[in-house]
Amino acid sequence: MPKCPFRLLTGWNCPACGVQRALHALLNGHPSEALAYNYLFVFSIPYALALMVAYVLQKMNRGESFVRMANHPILARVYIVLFFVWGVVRNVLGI
Amino acid sequence: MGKYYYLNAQNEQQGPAEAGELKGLGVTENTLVWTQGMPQWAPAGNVDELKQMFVPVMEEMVPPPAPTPTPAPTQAYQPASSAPVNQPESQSAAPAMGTAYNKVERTPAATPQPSTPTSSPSSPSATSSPNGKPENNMIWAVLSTVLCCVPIGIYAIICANKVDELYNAGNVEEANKQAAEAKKWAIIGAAAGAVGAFLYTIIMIIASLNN
Repeated sequence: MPKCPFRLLTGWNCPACGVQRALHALLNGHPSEALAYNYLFVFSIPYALALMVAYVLQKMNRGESFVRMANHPILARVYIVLFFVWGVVRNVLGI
Repeated sequence: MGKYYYLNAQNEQQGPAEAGELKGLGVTENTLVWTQGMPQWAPAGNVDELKQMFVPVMEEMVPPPAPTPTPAPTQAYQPASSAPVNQPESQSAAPAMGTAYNKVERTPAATPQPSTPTSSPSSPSATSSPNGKPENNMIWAVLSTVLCCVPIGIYAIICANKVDELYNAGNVEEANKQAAEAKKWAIIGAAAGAVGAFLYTIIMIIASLNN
């Protein structure tokens, strides 16, 4: 598994770290282990999926209300805040 | 907004009427109007305060000014609204639409209706959604942080998040700028992740060869 360049440079875990390990665990059928690599996934994966679905729906000119919901600025703000909070928490607690 | 006197088709003085009501009373950009402070009667299209009502007529080959943001929800819920609304879809499409407006307005009886279908062939460009809102590129920004393992993408998310806000505030130009910025940093984030992985792989190969 390649290491995160951020980690190589700074020695810190970046808030996004753990994706590859998590995917690896997920593909091997260990969802809970996958989650443990990065608890931000609880929010980020569903959010990314929702955005992808919204993107497709928008291209098809359908699902207006879903598209608007997925693109709601509050979701993005929550993601930004969680991203930084998680980045601090995981480095302080060594998760 | 002041009260205006205006001349009807028989050249009779009418009014005074509130500026906002004039259009409903049949005043066009060529109708002569007068209000306190004006030296003499002038076509409504030349009066600063009234110009707004005839916006499409006033522009000559210039991209239309930032559209007053039409509330997306009401339009979206109408079933017929899948056709693009005639707003500047993006900066690239705008000049073409400016000419379209002009063509329409040269015909004498044209009422300045901002939803002529003339522009539909030129409208949806790659960077805009059907509402005329610039694509905020949020999806690429989020994917670059989730998948590429680099924090750079978070800046792209911040930019992308500003796009809709700016657009809804009527600041289309700035919204387009932020959308481009978001795209740029999402790509940089993805590229940094790829380069990092690539360098790491090379380092590992060299390391294993040395052993």
